[in-house]
Amino acid sequence: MRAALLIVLSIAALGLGAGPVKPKAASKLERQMTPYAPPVIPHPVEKGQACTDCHGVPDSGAPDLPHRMIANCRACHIEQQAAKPFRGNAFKAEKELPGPNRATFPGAPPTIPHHVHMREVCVACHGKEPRHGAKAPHPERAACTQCHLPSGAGQ
Amino acid sequence: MRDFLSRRDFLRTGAAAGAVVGGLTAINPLEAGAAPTKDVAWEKSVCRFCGTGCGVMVGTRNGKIVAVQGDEKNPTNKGLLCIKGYSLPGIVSGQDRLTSPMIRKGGKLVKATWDEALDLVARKFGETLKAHGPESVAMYGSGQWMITDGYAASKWFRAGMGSNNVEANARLCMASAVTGFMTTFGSDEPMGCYEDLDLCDVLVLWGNNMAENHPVLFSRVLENKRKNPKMQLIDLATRRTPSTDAADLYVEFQPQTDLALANGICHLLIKKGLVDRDFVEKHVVFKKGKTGIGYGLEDRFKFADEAKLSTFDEFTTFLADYSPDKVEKLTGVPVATLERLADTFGNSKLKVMSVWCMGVNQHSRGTWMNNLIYNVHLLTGQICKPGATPMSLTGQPSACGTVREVGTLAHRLPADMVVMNPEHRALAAKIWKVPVEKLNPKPGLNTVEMFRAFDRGDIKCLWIQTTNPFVSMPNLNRYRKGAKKGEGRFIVVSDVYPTETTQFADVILPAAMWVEREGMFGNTERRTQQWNQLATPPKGCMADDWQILEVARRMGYGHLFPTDPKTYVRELFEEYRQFTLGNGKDVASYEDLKSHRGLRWPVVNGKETARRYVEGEDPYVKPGEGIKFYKNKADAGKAVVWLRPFEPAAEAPDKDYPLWLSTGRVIEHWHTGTMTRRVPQLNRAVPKAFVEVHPEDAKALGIQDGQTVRVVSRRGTLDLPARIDGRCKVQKGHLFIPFFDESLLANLLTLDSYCPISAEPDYKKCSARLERV
Repeated sequence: MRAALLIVLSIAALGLGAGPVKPKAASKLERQMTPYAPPVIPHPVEKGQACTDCHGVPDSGAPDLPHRMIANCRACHIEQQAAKPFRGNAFKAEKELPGPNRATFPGAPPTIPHHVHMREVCVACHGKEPRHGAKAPHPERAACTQCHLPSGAGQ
Repeated sequence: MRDFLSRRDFLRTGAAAGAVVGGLTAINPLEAGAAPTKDVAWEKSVCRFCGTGCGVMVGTRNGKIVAVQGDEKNPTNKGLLCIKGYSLPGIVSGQDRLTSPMIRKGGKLVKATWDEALDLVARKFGETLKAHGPESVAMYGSGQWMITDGYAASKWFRAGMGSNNVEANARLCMASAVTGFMTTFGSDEPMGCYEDLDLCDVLVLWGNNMAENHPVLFSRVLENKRKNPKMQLIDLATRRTPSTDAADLYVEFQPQTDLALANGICHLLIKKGLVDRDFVEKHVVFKKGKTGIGYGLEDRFKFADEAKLSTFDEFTTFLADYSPDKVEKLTGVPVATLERLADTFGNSKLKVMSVWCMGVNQHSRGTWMNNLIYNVHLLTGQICKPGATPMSLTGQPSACGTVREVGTLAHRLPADMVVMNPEHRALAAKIWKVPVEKLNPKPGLNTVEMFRAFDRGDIKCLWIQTTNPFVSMPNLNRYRKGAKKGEGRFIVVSDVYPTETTQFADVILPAAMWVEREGMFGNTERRTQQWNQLATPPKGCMADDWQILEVARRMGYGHLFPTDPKTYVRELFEEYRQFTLGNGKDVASYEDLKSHRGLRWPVVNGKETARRYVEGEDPYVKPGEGIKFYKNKADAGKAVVWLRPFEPAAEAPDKDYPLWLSTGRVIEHWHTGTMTRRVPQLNRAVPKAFVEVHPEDAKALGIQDGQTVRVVSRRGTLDLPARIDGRCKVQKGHLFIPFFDESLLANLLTLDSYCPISAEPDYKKCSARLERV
């Protein structure tokens, strides 16, 4: 099974330029150089297909946009092909740095334990189908940052 | 340390300049490493890639880069980066970092100590200088040089060796912008600023794929569009790109005919009465220069323009050749579109901005093309107003700050001064504390002529820093063969990774890069930015400027340079800054740079200038003057509208080579890919080069998307995969190849013709044919 997969992958690697290939269950760190970098596009992109045909469209099944719409998505999110590394790279990404505290005082709403830049739309991750973070217990209270303050994490 | 200083003192007092001194021990200021931090510390820096100059926050722990974020406090990018910027942590950590000097012995590169390598470089430069004179040595640097690198190189060459053969790869990308600014305004670099991108009602892209090459600035444009639904983006281009996808109007023209297009717009502006007569009266003079000026294809090509005063009437007569019908025939742009363009520029209710980069600069009439865009803006008064301005973009992080402002081109000195001018030499000699006779009044060789001279053997000793010419030079076959000739030629290469250029080296010097050292860059909008050393480089790596200082000391020029490894960057910068003060080029003080997210020059009394030449913004414009192009003293503070005709490209498609071939970039890779290809995500996005082919040309030849095809020009042959209808789309009869891939060298095919005024090569136009393999 594993050997077969390897063969498939090496054929894909040889057929470079044969179009985008879905990378094998890429680890999160392969998809993002650091937790602060935009994730790569983990799926093939059809010709003529716009990102916003699915992303940001309710019930499309595609992850929602965690940040306000920036029209040139592809300036940050790039397609991936099966390709041998050009040269080795020793960079090892670290997990996102946690914030200094979880709540300002006992009983208060917890602060946001991660950096918030480009993650202004909380429900994109904490909504009905949580993707990376915990499911919000009360997503209907749309103005999340009214109570949950940035903790200074990341900077 | 004391030992070193005593030797330095000996040099200052005892050694005759030019005599090679041995026995010095190299020190490496970076060896102490970055300040240790237990937790992740975040500090400001600047992106290592393009000329936008995005602010980044770099997170480090104990001298190791942990992560990078966009700097929300930096007004350039307000926290946003492009994918290259987010990938910065990976560019320093390639596993094949060069960490030891190498010397070629018996044909093989072998490890050496810093002292052996630096002694050898100093000896070779010293011997060559003595035996063959100042024209036999050369330095080829970069728009990625930090300000102090360029300054050290320029001073070592001009004030030390009396040679003006100091050049930089910005010759290949920005030289036409420089000559355009100098001939029209008498001073280099834009009057406008990035804020104009937020404020304009119309943005005209002149042959510029901004979405891929200046993505963060393009985001500002799209944000402007979102807030101001009437905002129009007009894309004048030879090829459809992601920038076209966002455009309201795509205007496709034939290569080289942008000259006719711009003149055609001016023709209509006059015919329709859309000229701002008041502005022209107050702020413009008319001039004409030589025509039929050649293409720089022959070795030792020489050209000197002769400017003659002209008049508005003569200009009008000159434009008779550019009637809409004629321009449509030449360019392929319909008359109605030409009218729309003229009506847009001539609409005083709209704020119109133009931007351009390589399409205009890498042009056999690049200087003219820059002049012609200014003509359009000067005739309509669409200049020096918020949102209304022409703005030349730069491609490298310090093409402006280092190459253009410090003056690391063969004819330039800092702050718009030139070696040919005796007053400029006198001022330079004073600041450099050398006798004025030491400064050579004869300009050195421009980049193409420099590599030609190296091929011929006239230049014998060449030091290349921070760039990869044996991928990026045009007509590579000639220059790569030249580099292999031996016969006494000696190449030194300072770089961070093995490249196509290091393979030709006789000595390799491993460099420290980006935040591994303190540095300063200057961006497109005149913003000088500084950062501290935040990371510790791999052991053995030395900063480019310190490498130059070590060699200069060994040649007996130690007295020209600071010696304290802790403060030399500041000392070099502060000395350089003296050139800029009081003449409208004033860069900010070192202290101000430390505490700000950069400042835009002229900086007077600590206050930066958003828009040059504008009363109330630029302190050099006196009350009541309104707008004053005060740097153009020769024309009483007026700007010049130039009569520049259409002339054909150096090489155009014919029977044997029926296709136009253009080269350029992709968003994922930067220049020759030596940094970006080592980032796994960027490499996987675009792992190799390709040739874009029009679907009809592909069909005629019976080739499919992804199939390997052969591209042949008069200079070379390249087999690579065809890309049909990818994210960019060429016109029928056109090909495009990105130049980042060292194993598929686009520049084997390109032509080394150049603009006779700027000496910048035209990488965008040559002829080729396509074959099945």
